[in-house]
Amino acid sequence: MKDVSSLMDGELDARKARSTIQRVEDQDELWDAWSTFHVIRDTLQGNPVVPGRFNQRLHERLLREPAPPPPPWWRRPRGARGLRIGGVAVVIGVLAGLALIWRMPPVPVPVTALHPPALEAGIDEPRLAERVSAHRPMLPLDAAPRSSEAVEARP
Amino acid sequence: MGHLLPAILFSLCAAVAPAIAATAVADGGATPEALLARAAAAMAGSNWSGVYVHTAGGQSESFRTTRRIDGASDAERVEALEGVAREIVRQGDEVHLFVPDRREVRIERRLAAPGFPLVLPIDPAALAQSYRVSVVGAGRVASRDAIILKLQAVDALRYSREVWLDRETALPLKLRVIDAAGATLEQVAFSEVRIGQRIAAAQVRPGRQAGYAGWEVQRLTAELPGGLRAPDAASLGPGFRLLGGLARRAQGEAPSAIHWAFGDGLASVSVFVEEPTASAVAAAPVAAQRGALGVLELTVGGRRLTAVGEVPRALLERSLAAAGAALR
Repeated sequence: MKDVSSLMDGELDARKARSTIQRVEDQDELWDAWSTFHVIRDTLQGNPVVPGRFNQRLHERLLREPAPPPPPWWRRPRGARGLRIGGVAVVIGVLAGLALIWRMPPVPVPVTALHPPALEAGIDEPRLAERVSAHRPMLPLDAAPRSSEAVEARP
Repeated sequence: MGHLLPAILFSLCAAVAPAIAATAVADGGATPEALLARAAAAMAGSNWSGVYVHTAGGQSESFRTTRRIDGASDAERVEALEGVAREIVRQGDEVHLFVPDRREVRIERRLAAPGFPLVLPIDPAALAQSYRVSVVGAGRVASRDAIILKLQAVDALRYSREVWLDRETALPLKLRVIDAAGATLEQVAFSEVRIGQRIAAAQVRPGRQAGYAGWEVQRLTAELPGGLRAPDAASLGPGFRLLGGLARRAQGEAPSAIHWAFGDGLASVSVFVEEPTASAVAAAPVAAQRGALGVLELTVGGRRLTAVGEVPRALLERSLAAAGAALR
């Protein structure tokens, strides 16, 4: 799982990235993690999220198809082209990206650099304040948590 | 979890000891690791009382804090000295929050952050992976001489910290949270403090003289339901571990959200995963920040996921991703 998130963050070297991609294809659990990370990242980036049913169909199709052997580095497709095609091409696209950095040392890409800012809210907004209070109960905030969860719960 | 903090603090002392010999000596013979071990021991075993000022996001608030250790009993009381007279009393891991303007007592289990202002190492193995520790100087806080330790984050997934340790007892007196550019995001500092004196049990009981007749009592947390898959803490980054999970109740019935807490030995982050509801529609993510404390919330598959912690945005995102992946 850690390797999957590191792969998305561009933190793996080429060899490790290839083996991780292979494992993502082979293992349901890692495929699920890969899909979830993409859904969450797309949501954070404001991109349309691929519906789950499509994801499932894609998954089943991938399971039926043999994993494409990595082509020679000089013939690998560019990432942007691969992304248009779908999940299979995403994997190929990642390989293409790897080809570009084949001989370069891995450069970590900060996750924040990929994302536009989310809608900013005040931390005293009641709903958020309640979560903050649950995280740091020893630091009382002036904003009173006022959710139905707090009001209606009983011992 | 009953006496988790003392247990981990004890383990900190044990685990840090072997590293002492391997580190450069600082401050008259004490290595940074030895100072941290002393601080951990002081946190685990000391009584104190004092007033501290918490500054974040351009706001400052003052609190009175009292801590009493008596055998196996570990109790703490924090009172807000400004605004609404909120009061928090902790007995072991159980926290009672008294909200006078609403005549409520909210009871929950402490999960993520240890008592304040002593947010210090609770897991030495994780700490060594995540921070470089050094002595950077000397100072004075609340009329007491202090040694300044720097805990430099090794990556962009956490903030660095400076902590002023009391030269005599090693109790933390001041804490600064620093971003990658060196700016102070948040600070906590005693303005007055007494350490090691006798504390009567009455001093860590709720202080409302008129009593609490008619107040509403709410117990907000419960044990996790069975069969849950815990998020993979390793996907957050080096040194992060799952500290635990709790269910938070709603409507007095089934739990409405699961609260997972992760930590790297110093920083902590909570993720709240709500039950799916038809009304939860996909919307733009919402973010909030005050000082070092960040919040990031989004809706995926009808569930609201919220991450809260004294960590950079990148780690909030990773926390959400880890919690989301565990739902599949």
